[in-house]
Amino acid sequence: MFRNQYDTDCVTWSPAGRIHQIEYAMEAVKQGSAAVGLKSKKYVVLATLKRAASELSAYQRKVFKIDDHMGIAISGLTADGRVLSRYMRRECINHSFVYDSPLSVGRLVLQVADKAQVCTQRSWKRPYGVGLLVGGYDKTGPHLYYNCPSGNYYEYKAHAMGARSQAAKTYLERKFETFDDATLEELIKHALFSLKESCTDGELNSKNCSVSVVGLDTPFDILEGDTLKPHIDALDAEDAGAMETDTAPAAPAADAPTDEAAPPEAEEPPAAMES
Amino acid sequence: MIPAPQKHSYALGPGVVAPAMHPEYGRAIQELNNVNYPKAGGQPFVVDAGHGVGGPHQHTQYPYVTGTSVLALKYKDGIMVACDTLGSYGSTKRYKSMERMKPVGKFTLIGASGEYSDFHYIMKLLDELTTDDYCHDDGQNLTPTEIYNYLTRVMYNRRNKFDPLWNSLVVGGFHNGESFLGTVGMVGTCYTDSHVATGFGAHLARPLFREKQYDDMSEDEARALLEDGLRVCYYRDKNSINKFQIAKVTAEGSTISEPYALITEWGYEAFVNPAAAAVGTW
Amino acid sequence: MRARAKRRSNTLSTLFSSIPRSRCTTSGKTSVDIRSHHRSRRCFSGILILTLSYNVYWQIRPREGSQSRCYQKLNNLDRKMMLSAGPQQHGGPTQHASWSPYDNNGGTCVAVAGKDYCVIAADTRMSTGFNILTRDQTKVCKLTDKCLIASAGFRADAITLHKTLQTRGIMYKHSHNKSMSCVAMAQMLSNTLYMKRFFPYYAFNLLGGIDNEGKGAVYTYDAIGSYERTGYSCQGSGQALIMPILDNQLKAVSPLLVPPQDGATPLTQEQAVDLVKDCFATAGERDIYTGDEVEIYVINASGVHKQTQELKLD
Repeated sequence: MFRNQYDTDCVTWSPAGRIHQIEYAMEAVKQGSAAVGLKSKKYVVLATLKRAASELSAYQRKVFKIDDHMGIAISGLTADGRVLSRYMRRECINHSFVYDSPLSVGRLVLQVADKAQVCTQRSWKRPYGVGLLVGGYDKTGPHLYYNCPSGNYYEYKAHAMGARSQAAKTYLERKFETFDDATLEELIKHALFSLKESCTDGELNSKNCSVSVVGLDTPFDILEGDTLKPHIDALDAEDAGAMETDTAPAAPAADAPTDEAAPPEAEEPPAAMES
Repeated sequence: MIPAPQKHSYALGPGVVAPAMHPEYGRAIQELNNVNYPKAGGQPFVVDAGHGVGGPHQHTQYPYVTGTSVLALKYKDGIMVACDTLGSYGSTKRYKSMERMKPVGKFTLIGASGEYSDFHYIMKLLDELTTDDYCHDDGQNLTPTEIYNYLTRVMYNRRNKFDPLWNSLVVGGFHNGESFLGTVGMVGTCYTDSHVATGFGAHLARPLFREKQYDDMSEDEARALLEDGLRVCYYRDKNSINKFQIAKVTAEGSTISEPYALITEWGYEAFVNPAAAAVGTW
Repeated sequence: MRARAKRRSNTLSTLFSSIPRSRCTTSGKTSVDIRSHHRSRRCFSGILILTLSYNVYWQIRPREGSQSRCYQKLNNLDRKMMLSAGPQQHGGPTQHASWSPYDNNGGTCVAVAGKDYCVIAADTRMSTGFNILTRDQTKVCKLTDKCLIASAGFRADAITLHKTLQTRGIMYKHSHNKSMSCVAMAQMLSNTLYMKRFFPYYAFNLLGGIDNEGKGAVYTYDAIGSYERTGYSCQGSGQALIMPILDNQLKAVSPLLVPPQDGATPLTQEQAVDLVKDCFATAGERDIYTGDEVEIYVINASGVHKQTQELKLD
C-alpha cells in the first residue's frame, strides 16, 4: 500500500475507481489478531486469538456479548469495536423492551452496516477500523455474519478475519461441509483447529484464546481460561494422536505462519467497489 | 397542524421511545425524543412550533367518533373476534359501516373500540412496521406477541405524554401453532386471557364467556357463543347496531366476515314494559 | 321531562367512551396531588437512619367545586395534566368523558425473609373497579438469579417498572460482568421510583432476594422510592388485612437498635411458606381485589422455586 494523492479522505475517488481510505480501514482489520466463526444447524461458534500489548499486560478482549442470543468477535481497532458493540447492545435492549422478543441477527447486522456506510460517505468522518464477526441465533436459526468497515456485510457458513486468517480460512474451506451436522463440541474443535492455523508465536493456550458459543437453547457464553482449558487439552491430545498415526487431519501448525509474506490480496474483492 | 415527522429507531419502530439509558449507552433518548434535535449543534429548527418545543399543544380531551365493545375468545383452531360496525358521534349513530377489525400481517388481527381516528393512527404505525418487514424481505414478520407488546408501549407512551390514544384494543393472533389473545387499554393496561371484551362487553358478554368458553371449543360453538355475546350487547348497549362482523385467525391466516345481522327477539315482557318490575324507574 | 332527558344523556354519554363508568365524571376533574413530600434523611451520631414517610400518599378522585389551592401548588407537569385531564376548563359541567392516567388493578404481595431464604408471593388477580380483568396475571418478575420483585397497583406502571429494572440489570451485567446484587437492585429501584416522583409509578413494590452474605432480604417501598430493609412486609390492596397478621406472628426488629439487628425472621422456610399461604387465604376472604391464585416464590441457595396455591374465585 503506497500513499497517493487520492487517499486523504473517503469522499475522493481515485482515477482507478477506488476509495483508498476505505481500503486502509479494511487493512486495519487484517492487522488485528485473528478471529474465526463457524456454524452448524444449531450453533454458532466464534473463536479469537488474543494479543497482549506487553508481557506485563493482560490480553485484549476480543469477544463481546451483545445479548443472550448474540455476540461478536472483533478484529482491528478494539476501541471502534467497543463502540459498535455498545450500539448493538443498546439496540437489542431497546428491542426487547418494546417487543419482548430478541432482535433478529440479520436486521441488527444491517443496521450496523448502514452505520458503517455513513462513515464512508462523509468528509468529516472516518470509516470504522474494525471487522465484526457476528454470531447469533434467532427465530430463523443460527447466523454468522461478517461486517466490513466498508459498510458491506456477508453471511457465512464459516469465516475468518484478521492477521494470517487465510490459513484458518483454508482449513474452514476444507472442512465446512461437515459443519452442518456437527455437535457443539466438534464445532469448538474445528474453531480451535482453524485458529491454530493462524497462530503466530507459540501455541494456542487457554490464555491467549477465547471461544464463544450460542445456539438453540444455548444462551451466548464465552469460554476463556479455566472453562476453555478442557477444550484446548482435548485439542492437544488429538493433535498428538494425529502426529503419531500420521493421519493429520489438520495441516501442521508450523506451516501456517509462513504465508504472512504473501497477503491474500485476491481472496476478497475490494469491498468498496462492490455494488 | 402540520404533522411533524416521526423520527424513530429502526429497532423500535414508530410511536415508542426507548427506556432511559445509562449515559454510557449514548444519546439515544435525546435524539429519539426531540424530532428537531440538531445533529451538528446549534438551535433546533422548528417547523411546527406546536409540536417540537414550546407553544401550547392541544391533546385529545374526549373522543369524537367511537366504536363500542369488541368481543374475542380462543377456540380450537385459533382466535375469534367480533364487533358491530357502528361509528357513534356522541350518542348519534353516525357511521353504520365502519370496519373496526383490521388484519396486521398474516397472523394477527386488531379489533378496536373507542376513537376511530386514533385507531387509524395505530394502524398507520403498524402498517409502517409490516411494510418494513416486507421491505427487509428476510422472511421475518412480527408475531402476535410482538405486536401486542409494541401496542402496549405505544399506548403507555401516549398516556405518559397526557395525550392518550382513546382506544381499547384487542389483539388476536395465531402463530407457530399457538393462539394469542390480549387486550390493551388507553392508559396501557394490558392482559392476556382466553377471552376478552372491551367496553360494555366486559360487563355484558364476559360473564357468558366465563361460563361457556373453553380453549378446545369447536368453531361452531365459538361462533354461537360470540353471537350470544353480541346479542346481549346489542340488547343493552344503545350505542350499537345489529350489523356485525366476525373475524377469525387460524393457522390459515385471518379472515373477516362480511357484515350481517343477528336474529333478535324484542317481544320479551321485560322489553315491552321494562319499568313494570322496578317501581320508580322510567 | 327535560330534566330527565338531560340526566339520561349525561349518564349515557359515558357509554361511548371505552373506559368504565367509574372513570367518568360529569362535573369533576380528575387530579392527582401529592400531599406531603418525601422527608429528609437524618443523621444521628454517625448512624444513618432512614426516616420513612408513609404519609406520602396518593389520591386519585374526582374533585368537586372550583379550582382549589392545591392547584397553585402543583408544578408544571401536574398542571399540564390537569389541563388535559380535566374538561372543566370549558366552564361549567360538561358531558365529556374525562380520563385518568392511573388505574388501580389491585392485588397483594407478601414477602418474608429468613436466615438463608426469602419467600415472595403475590396473587394473580387483576381487576379494575368491580371488574375482574383476568384471573391469571403474574405480579412477580425475576430481576436476577437472586432477586425478585412483586408489584401491586397499576399494572401498566408495574410492567414498565419491571422492564426498566430488567433493562438496567442487563446493562449492569454488560459493564461489570456480574449480576446486580439484591442490595444494589434495591437501591436502584428506589432511585427509579424517586426519579419519577412528580408523575410516579402507581405501583406498590416488594423486593425480595438473597443478599451478598446469603441472608434473606425483603425491601419495602412507597410509590416515590422511600424504602427500608425489613424481615417481612406486605403491599397492595390486602395490606391492611395481612400486615397485622405478620406483625402478630413475627416481631419486627427496631431499626433504632445499635448495633443494627438482623431483621430476618426466625421461621424455617416451610413455616414461612405456610404463613404466607394462610395470609393470602385470609386476605382472599375479605378483599375483593385479592384472589384466584397465589404464586409463591422461594429464593434460596439452590435457586428460585415456584409453587402456587388456589384462592377463592369470588
